[in-house]
Amino acid sequence: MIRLYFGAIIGLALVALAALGVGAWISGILPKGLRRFDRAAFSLLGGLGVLSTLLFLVGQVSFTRTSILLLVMPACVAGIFVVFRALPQLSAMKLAATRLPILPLALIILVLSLTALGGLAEVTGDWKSDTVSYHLLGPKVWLRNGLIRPVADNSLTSFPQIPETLFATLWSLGGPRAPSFSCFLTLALLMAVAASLAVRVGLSNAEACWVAGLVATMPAIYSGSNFCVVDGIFAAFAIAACRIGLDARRLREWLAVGLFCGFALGTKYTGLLAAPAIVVCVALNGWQDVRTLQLSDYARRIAVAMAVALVVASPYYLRNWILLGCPIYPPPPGYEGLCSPKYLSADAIAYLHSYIRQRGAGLGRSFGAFLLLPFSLTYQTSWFHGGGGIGLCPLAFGPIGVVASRNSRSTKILVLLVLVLTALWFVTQQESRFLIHVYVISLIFAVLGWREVAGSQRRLSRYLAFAVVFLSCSFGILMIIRAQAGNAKAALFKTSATLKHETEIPFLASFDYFNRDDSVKRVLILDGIVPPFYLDKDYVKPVGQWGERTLPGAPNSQQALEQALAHRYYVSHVLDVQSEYSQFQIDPQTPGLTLIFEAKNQRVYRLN
Amino acid sequence: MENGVPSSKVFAVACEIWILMTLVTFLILRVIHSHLFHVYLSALFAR
Repeated sequence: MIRLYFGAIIGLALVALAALGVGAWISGILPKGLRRFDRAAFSLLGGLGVLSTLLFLVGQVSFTRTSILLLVMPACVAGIFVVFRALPQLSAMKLAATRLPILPLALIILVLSLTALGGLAEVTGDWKSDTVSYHLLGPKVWLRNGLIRPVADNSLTSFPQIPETLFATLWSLGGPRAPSFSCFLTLALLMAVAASLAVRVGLSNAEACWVAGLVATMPAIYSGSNFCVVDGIFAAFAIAACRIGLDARRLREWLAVGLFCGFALGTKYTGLLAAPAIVVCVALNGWQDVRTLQLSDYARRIAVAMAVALVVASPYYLRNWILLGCPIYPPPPGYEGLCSPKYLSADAIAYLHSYIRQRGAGLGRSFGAFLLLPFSLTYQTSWFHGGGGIGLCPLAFGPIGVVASRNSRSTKILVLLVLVLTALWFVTQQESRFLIHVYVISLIFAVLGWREVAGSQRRLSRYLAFAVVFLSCSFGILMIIRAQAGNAKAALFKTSATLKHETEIPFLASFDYFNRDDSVKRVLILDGIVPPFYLDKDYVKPVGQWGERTLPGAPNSQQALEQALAHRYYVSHVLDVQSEYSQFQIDPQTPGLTLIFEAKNQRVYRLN
Repeated sequence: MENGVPSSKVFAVACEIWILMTLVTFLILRVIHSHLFHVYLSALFAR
């Protein structure tokens, strides 16, 4: 286990150094007002985006450990120079850190430590886990095939892939524990970016530290930033674009806005709605300065931001268009006249759309439901798959913060942005973690409101404020500890690790057999719910999790089995399972097959 | 009211009422959703 942990730490260190190396130039295009700490955080975050995009482009031709090392190692050398150059400034940062309040710092350190520790545990889970079914399936298959391509049996592996490409790189350099271990770094970057935006809207360093502390203890943010879930890094890119945009005046600063919007677009499809909203809203912030500029100049700068965002994100969408027939894949509603998706039938797409509509229904889409959202999200979080809720601070203090600082231009812009982003989320898919960037901004309003309440000198106000923060943080921390306790125990104790391995990996006995036996060359997986993430060998899965048909002629499982028996797919073994969704599909007496292994709900056949 | 800004005392009291309402709603919902409350209700109706 120690070797795995050591590998994860080395892998993350290499990727972080490489990101600093390729992201150092970003510091030069940031607005002048940013603090040294902000510049370092934005450079590292942007560097992760740049590194991932470069690796993705290289990975279209070759994605072996050699090609990864050829790109990462020179970047690491550049990163070492960046670190050495920054060392003299480190003492000033340390001094500033000593003036920060202890309590939020302790909360931040506790949450990050727990995330790092839990991230060292083995990734387990069934087909319902996004991490297992696609976030890490893609990286594992890419590394095995030496090429970045969507995995045909799970169409969600064709989502934009900035985080997934980083996961693959981490896996290649640091082993299988490195991707989930890296989540503490992206969570820390989200906190840093949130603190930077907080300072921009007028909070002090200590208050910004409380914003980061509240971000750390909000379960809804945590569940979207942990265990290789990519909503946290998406929110970090979106908030970074917003923060830079509030101060962007020169062309190069708008270029930085576009760069981070592009990374958001390259992380999640929700960026397609969020990025234009961010650019337009932050552009309104500079509207009063238009008097000193030609209107056409100002428009040109905004157009540059949009164009840069499109160029940065284009590899992910062009690749899908060329390989899968649609730039957005699986295609959204209304795709019919625009593109022809491959591997997915119209029925499968309709099923996916109905699933998304059903899952994202929340408490309805009426105007009343929209107005009640602050209450629904706070008190009825399970309707939005909230993963532990958003705490009390946004509702209790947020409106007060908005009222108290309503004369500030940046507050007005952020309120407008929150309304637009929430409305877009409301009409598309009401899944709590897709709104993390809005939660972060709401926490900034909350701390603004808290400051107002605490500054009123009334004893009752102070007691109430204390009660809200105490309840919010303590509930949040308890939820986070409860969610991470199993992983942390598995990382520390071998017995817990074994228990997790044996109870949380479906069809484990069959996967163990396949991975151990040298005669297994290629496995035919008949059931769509079997997660091939646990298989270390090549496989064929004719029908995917979302009804994808992966083989030429789109055969179903039975037809694919007949073809396999005729030695069409070079399959050596067949995995047949039964579950709550389906029965065994093969009669053990079938000619051409020999049942060589059987365990509970699983049978393995060898082709004769 | 001064320049459209509520006087600080009125605003402070309004803030206290708002926060109190948020807290009380939270606590009521916590109690309603709690296991103990369900046990109490079951016992009450069983009687």
